[in-house]
Amino acid sequence: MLKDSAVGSWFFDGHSSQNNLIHDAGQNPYLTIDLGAHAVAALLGNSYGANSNGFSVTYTRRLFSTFISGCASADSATEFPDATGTPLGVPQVGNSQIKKSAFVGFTGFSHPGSINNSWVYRIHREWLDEIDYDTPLSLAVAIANNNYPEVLNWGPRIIGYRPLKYNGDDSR
Amino acid sequence: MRRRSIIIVAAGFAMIALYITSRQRQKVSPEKPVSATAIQSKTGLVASYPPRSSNELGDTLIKAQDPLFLEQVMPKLNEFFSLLDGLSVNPLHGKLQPSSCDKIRIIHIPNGIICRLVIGDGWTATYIENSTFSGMMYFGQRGADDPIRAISHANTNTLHQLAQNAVSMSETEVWKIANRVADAFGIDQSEFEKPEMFEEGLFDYRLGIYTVRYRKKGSDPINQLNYTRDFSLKATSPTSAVLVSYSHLEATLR
Repeated sequence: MLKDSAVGSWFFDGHSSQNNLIHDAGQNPYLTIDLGAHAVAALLGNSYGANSNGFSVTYTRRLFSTFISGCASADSATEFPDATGTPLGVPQVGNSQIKKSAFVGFTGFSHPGSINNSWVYRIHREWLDEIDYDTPLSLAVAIANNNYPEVLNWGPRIIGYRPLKYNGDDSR
Repeated sequence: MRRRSIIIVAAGFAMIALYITSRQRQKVSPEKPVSATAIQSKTGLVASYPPRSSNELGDTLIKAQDPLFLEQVMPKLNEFFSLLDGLSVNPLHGKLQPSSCDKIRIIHIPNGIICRLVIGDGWTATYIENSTFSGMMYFGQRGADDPIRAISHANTNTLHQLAQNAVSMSETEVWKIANRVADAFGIDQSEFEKPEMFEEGLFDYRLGIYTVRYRKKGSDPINQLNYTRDFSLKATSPTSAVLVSYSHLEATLR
């Protein structure tokens, strides 16, 4: 589905690390499928990495918003923001030269279960569904953080444009 | 326009879990539709107010006549707008009336509430009350003319219109007003890195809206959640402005 150009936003709920999704051989040795950050970038027609001029990213499609609720997808060494179109080294707030996008994830270990699910649900509810309030992403996350403060221990992080406002008809 | 969608990987598991969770929350939630609408006032008179209801997340939906809103939230909203009046940066005309407040929703959080509401056609506010703080959590614009919406969606038609009506203000004048606003809202600058100020805009469109934001001292500058305080001033002349956005987004562990 990521290859479909109609897709502008992506929510992944499952195991993750800095540069890989799904695989979790330690706890679930039967799960041996990987979805690496480079593979995600390739599905979007993007590429990133070091070259002779340093680090570079090349985008065909930048996702409007990306949300990965597993572990460490937003830590300092993560590759997913670069892969999906919210490059770590490019400030968006106060930068008039870049179309806006955002990445939400955790810097540390998140735990599956009702707290995680409820936190995710609250963010989506406030940001996407309660359209009357026209909610910035940062406010939706802050409301969820106040609603489920246990999540603060997992290191929630927003990268990119924090006031981003969702619009289901114009989300990429 | 083509309908666009969110991919939900492992959607089956996630959605089942979410619905189970929401149902469990509903079962334990004290908030159910309330049919009794009478309260005993201090004078012994019985007053009535519109019935409350709740959504599947356990949020309580109330009307502006509800005592919870009138007695607990409204005074704090008035306090906020009085502060703006005192600074001559209030974007609303006249005193805020309960009749201007709609879509009032109470989110129950540990040790408190968050109250979300819509003010008139063009504004939205979020109030928070917990064990450490009570006051405005967010105030900002909503609707088609909202500049942040226009920037978020790179809506060049709206950006063009907004830019045509924009008034420019010098950085010195912005800081004069911004520092008064920061002081009035009790922003302790010793707790933050040096504040950043920039004009809102996208591509070649400059909107005459100046945002000042504060990042917690020593915190990660990439994590946008660390910018816990910010506000935006829209210039109405080269030396005057109104406040069009305000955020106080700190969350604390129980």
